[in-house]
Amino acid sequence: MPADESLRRIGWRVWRYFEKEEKDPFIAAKSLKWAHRKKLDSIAAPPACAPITAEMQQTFAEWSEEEEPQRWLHLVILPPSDRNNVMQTWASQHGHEILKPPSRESLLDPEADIVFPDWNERSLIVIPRLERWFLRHRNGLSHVRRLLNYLAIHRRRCVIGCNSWAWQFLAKSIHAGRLLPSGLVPNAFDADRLQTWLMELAAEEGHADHVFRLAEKGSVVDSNYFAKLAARSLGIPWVAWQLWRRALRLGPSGSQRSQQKFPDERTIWVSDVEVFHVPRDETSPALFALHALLIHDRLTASELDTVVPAVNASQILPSLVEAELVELHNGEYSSIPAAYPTIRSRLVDAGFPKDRL
Amino acid sequence: MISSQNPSDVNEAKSTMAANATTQPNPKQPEPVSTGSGSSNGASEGASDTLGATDSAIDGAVPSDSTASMKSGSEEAQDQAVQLINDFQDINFLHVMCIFCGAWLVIWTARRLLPLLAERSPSQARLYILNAVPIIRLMTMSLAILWMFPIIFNVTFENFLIIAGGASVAIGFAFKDYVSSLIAGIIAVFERPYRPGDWVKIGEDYGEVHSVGLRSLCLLTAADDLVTVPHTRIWEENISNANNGERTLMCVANFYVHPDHDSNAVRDVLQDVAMTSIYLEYSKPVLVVLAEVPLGTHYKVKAYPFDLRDQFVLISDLTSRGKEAIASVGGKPATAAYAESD
Repeated sequence: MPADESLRRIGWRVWRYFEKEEKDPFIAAKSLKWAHRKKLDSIAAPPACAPITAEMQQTFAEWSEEEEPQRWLHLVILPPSDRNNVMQTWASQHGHEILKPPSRESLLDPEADIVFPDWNERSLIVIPRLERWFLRHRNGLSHVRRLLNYLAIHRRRCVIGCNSWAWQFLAKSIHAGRLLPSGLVPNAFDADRLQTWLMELAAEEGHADHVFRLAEKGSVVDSNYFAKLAARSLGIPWVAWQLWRRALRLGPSGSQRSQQKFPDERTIWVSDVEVFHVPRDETSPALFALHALLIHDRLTASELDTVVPAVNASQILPSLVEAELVELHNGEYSSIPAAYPTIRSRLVDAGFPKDRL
Repeated sequence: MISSQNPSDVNEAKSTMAANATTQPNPKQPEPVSTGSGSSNGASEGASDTLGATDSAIDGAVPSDSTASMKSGSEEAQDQAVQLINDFQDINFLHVMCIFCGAWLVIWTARRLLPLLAERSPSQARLYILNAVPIIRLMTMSLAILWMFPIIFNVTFENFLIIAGGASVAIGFAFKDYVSSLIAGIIAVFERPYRPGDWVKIGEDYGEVHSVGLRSLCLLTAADDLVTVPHTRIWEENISNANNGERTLMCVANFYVHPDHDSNAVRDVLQDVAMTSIYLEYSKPVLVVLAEVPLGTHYKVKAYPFDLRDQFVLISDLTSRGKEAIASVGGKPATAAYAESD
């Protein structure tokens, strides 16, 4: 069964032990306060997808105006844990028609009707989340099959969005790659792009005068920090954005060392990039549950038991929520974007089929 | 007159004499040797006759230095050839013990630590780490033996022949099977019919190769039995290796369906059952094959798990959900015909 985490934990503890011995932080983490949501929104405002939607518009602007395009279908493969609905946001911003997915309840009924739009229209249609069109169940693939069959026959511009884990599953299970052999992938955010974007977000809300300092060293955040953030976030903007928000801290009040040293500036402290851990007990059901959540984007507990039978995966959900790997919203569980790199790493280590971007 | 109680004393005497004759002939030199021998019997007399001839040869060597040198060299080699084991005072037992203990420690550590490490490392690296155990053991043992051999034994070509001859007789009569297993074990390390972590079938035993020892390997079966199989089985039996060093292996779930059914529908639902299994490895194919057999229609669903340790749960998953799927499209399980008794 999937690999144990104990060795990793031991290594991490040893590393932390020596790190603690060697380094004296500039400002103690305990003296810093978590920034409240309002403050965070003013420093790094949502949605965390503006650069991606701009990139998409740049990509599809000409194509959507062509009379007889060479390709009628385009696939956009996005990283998972997209809480900003990138595709839907882009489609709404530019007035494109959106094809909504069927309800989850109807997905297990192969005979259920699907209302398709008029395929004779010339305008562009957007399917924001293909992962909402199926369930990993022997009866749960009929809708997505019918949809792709329709798309293959009709000649209407269509942009299909799908998360990378779901696409990997569909390429295997229903050979979706035969219809859409190659997908477009947003450019990864490297250190420079990340730094520019996050500093722009702060400046947009009138916080250009804020100085971001590393709590560890007291120095202003530099490209090294953003390089680390880019690497840890796998270049995914919404993962980096959430990690960045979770790292922001407010300074202590009173005559602290920081205030003596920087009396004339508005300092926002930045702690080290957060690391997550998969619960040590019941690792196997936890990984099966996390894998299913990545493929389906979000699931209720009963849906999770449907797509992960014989493992009782839903029983592990409370501990995953406690470990801040999963969040519950409107009765549906989904993986937290900031925890995605940890989840991915654990799944890959355990040998699970992984996504490709 | 020189006499000795045993031939080795005689040889020592000859050696000493020859050395003296080569450097500076001194008639008084053999005297210390003679003081060690006191008995006189038939055997010693016979020996003294031989030595008498040797003495004359030594005496004859005195006029020519080169001839003396040649003869004394050949005799020295002859002496060394007869002496298989180095003198005890020349053997550094501490050195030997250090080598032995060091080799044992390396092997023990590898056998204990590497499997532990393999279970806790990423699954991609698991089999590589496990496979290193027998190789490390073989290399360490070879190195230790090669290191210790010249410390204990007087290594000459003649001695090699003597040892090889003696060993051949011993092996031929007493340790034939054991040595055959050892040789088969060494060959198994290089030919790799099985490696730690592989799932193999030898005879009736199917299981994971738990460990590969010098003489035998241990299979851990699905019933949690540890089966010890001697390496000699590779001489006489086919070894069926299910994964051959890979992280996955083919699993087959069998279904026997009553012939009266829509085989295309059953085939499609079984395909979907396999494709939606949580244990499925995406990079490997899924295949549903069918054939008519006397009992009914035999379906085989062939799929690969992403972790070979999940093979039985994958088969169980396919079987459980497959039966449900077959029933959903009107298939009924085939049952053997039975005769009613009076």
